[in-house]
Amino acid sequence: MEMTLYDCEQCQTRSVPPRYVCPKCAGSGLTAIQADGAGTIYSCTTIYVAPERLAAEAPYAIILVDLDEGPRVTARLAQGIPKIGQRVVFNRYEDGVYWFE
Amino acid sequence: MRAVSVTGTGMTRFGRQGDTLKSLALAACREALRTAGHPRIGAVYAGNFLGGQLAGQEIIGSILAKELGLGPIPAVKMEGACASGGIAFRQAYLMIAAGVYDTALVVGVEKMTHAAASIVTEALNSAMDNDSSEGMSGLTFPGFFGVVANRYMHEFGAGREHLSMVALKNRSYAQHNPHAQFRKPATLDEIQQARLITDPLGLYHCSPITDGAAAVVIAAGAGGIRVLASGQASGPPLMQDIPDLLTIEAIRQAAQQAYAQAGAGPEDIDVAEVHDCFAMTELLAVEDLGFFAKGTAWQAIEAGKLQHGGEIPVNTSGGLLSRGHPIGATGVAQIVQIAKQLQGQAVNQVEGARLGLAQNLGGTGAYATVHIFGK
Ligand SMILES: [Zn+2]
Repeated sequence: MEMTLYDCEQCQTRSVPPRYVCPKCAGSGLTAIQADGAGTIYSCTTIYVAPERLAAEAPYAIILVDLDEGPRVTARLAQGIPKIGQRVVFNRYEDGVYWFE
Repeated sequence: MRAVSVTGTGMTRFGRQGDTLKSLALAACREALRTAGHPRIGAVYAGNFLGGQLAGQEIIGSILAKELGLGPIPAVKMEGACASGGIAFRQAYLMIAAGVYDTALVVGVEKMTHAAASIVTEALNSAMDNDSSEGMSGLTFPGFFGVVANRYMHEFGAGREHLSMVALKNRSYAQHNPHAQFRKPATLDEIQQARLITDPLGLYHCSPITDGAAAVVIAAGAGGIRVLASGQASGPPLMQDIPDLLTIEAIRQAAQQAYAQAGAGPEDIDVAEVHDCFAMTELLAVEDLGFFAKGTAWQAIEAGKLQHGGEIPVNTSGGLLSRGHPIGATGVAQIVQIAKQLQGQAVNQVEGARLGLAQNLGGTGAYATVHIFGK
């Protein structure tokens, strides 16, 4: 599924929304672009003790994904046990959270 | 800048206490004032993170000035998540060094154990940038250091047992500390087998939920344990924005400032308290402070270099892992332990210690302070 990223008008750094300014140069000119949302798991964990609002969902997997298009994003893995180096693809953006599979 | 010294120290027992935020802070402050010889205090600096969220109590600085009968002096609360105590100390130090005040009372305090673990976890998450997808994702602080630990092991060849060795060392030190939360001996096997909090971190690899307070009196002049340097830096409050996940850049920056001010290097430090909120964090901290090269701290812990008889004894108080981690109190409690080491009156005394370092961390590396002390 296509994933929306930001492209900085000033320094061309790609970043993951939501953001108000470019993470590299702090410029506010961010243009939305469509990317294919594929990436590799840089690192990960499975959380057993969750904050109150997510207690019912534990255990759940958190992944840190290096997107082929550049930026790194913290996301949830829809199912399975994550592994470093595993290829993943963007699935959906729901209630402010990026989900990969 | 004028010379500044620590002239008094105090702390409560750490652990589960029936006391209130105020009564904990008062107990630590009274002891610090007494050991300093009851000087006239110019200002109160309180380090506290969750008073508003968990205890429903703000304005702790003013409350303490009143309860301690210090007069209508300025008082303030400093917040920097788990670095609140270190930041409060630094602000007081800078004001005395600059000549604004001649003495100050610095206290760190937190009351946490009355709340459920899930409520505390939620409250602690306010130390992330929550106006972001990462804040919404369900990442927790243990989770963040779990992600770091998995990559550290992948990259440098460390094993989960090296995290356990950190936990074991700090538990061994805590056994001799009457102020520590956990004094019961533990074995490496027990630590390895404990239930998972967040992969790969088990119960013993994570600092506990703690009540407690610590306080110091600092004054202009050289009549005490000298504050030789104060460094502070900030870093990314989001995991996804950290350029190198295996370096806490704010620690490196704060340490460089502190070493330059003290005219000393990591090799000159005799004893250190570092911010082991998780076992993984101690390994990163001793690398980023320059005690060991990047990617080698796991070999150092295995070789016994972080304890008595090794290169540098680290967390002789038991650290956050076993002495306990009452968030706002931690940075000040580290300074109490280093001051006592340099006075030659510490638990787990390092013989002949002349230079000591205290390193406090907030959030995902969002804040770091480094202080260096000498006798
Ligand atoms: Zn830019």
